[in-house]
Amino acid sequence: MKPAAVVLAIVFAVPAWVAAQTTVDQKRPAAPDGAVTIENMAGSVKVTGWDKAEVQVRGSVGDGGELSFTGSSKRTHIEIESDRNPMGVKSDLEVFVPAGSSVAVEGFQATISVSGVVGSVSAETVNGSISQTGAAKLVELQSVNGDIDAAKGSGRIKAEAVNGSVVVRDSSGDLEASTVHGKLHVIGGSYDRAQIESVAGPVRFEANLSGRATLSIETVSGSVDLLLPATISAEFQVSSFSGHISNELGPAAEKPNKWTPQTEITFTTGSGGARITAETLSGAIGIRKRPQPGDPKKTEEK
Amino acid sequence: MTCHELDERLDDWVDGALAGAEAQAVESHLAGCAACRERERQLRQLLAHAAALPRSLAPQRDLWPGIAERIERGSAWSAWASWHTLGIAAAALVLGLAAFLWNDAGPRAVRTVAMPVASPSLRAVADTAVSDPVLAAAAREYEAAASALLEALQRRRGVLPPEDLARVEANLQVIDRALEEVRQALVKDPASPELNRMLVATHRKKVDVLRRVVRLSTAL
Repeated sequence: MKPAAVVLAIVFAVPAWVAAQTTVDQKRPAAPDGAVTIENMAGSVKVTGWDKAEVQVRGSVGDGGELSFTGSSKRTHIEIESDRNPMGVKSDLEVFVPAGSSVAVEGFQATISVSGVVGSVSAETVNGSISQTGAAKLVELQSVNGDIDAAKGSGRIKAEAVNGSVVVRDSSGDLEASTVHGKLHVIGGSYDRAQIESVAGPVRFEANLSGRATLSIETVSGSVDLLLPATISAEFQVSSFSGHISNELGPAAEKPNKWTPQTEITFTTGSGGARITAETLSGAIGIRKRPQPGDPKKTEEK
Repeated sequence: MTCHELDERLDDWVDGALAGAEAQAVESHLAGCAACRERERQLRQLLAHAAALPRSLAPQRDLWPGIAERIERGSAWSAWASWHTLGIAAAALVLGLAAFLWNDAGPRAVRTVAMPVASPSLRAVADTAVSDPVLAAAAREYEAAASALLEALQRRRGVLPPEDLARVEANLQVIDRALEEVRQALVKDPASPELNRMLVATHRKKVDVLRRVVRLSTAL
């Protein structure tokens, strides 16, 4: 295509696309701790907690779609409705909710981001990323193909991806996280209980544990990288059927019998307290001392 | 709290896992909603039945027929029923497996699992080693659940974007490869509780992924 033709195509196509989008900006009164449910199958949803007693929706609704904004002060429902296949109606919504709300967002080909909500957050999509920042008491994030990024949660956090990665940062409380193929990283924060599962994705746990915490990690072929303070007091039970185990905090792994390739280690550091278990089928397991401030700098693993 | 939101928390509520404001919200909704009270009653009854299953009794084999149809119908009740049928079946499976693993802590018998998707040669080896009917039935239940959900997903082919389906299928293949890897290990060490638990967890993951995609696709 000649450059002039390309320019003409853009000149005519862009206004047509813009015209197909409907701009929305609506508000409703809402209780400080009400429930807000949002359904947008394609596009994006950005939720922000604020200190006003109202829910505001603004953004653009795709051609063929219509914004439904209903409910009472205790319950608000936002949905993009369409008579046609909703996958073809791409809408981008920005939703402001009272910070104490319980927010549930559902999409399919939609990216979801939530920040500043301290009630509860539930977000689910198939093909899109999910990010959540803020001290919500209950967080449940589920994506199939997209990445999940959860930060600064406190309370109960559940994050599940399939192909995408799961990264949980600077959070605390009770964590359940799993992936099938994507990486799963827990970086920073402190946990009372963490249950981590992966099928083939690599797991990295680089966070603190409370005194009586339990940490359990299980993978099939994904590697496990545990970076813990050298001073941690914990009981370790680590085993792999055929993966290599390396250990900087205690004894080397041993084979319990000569008939299978399985290796395992059981040991205690300090006075015990926390309980750490890690099991893989073929994934390598590394237990390493976490570098502390002032330690000689090592090359960071990517 | 809506009926839909209550459905999502009903398992935790019945398990006694909810607290504070969330528990109060559920309690308050149940007080004013007869339909949800009935669903709660049915769930408690089903769980009680599942808990009462003797260890030698295999989970019901006819739990799965119709799951896909119910999901396809897409009504609130069908969504609830499919989720909770899966939940109840999983509870039954877990009970059976817990019993198996508990039993396995004693003298070890040679046990392993026959899985329909295993390669013919591996499956033949596994089949000859199956001696626990509960575990074998549990494996069949998971396979049946996965098949029913795959069928439901197939029926959504016209609605779902092909690239999304391709990605989901690629991920299911990752899980299938992992299952195959665990089975290979089980052939070498059939009595390993860790491997048996890993097999079940991996299989459950496949059902979870399918269930999630099918459920979300019904909204399209």
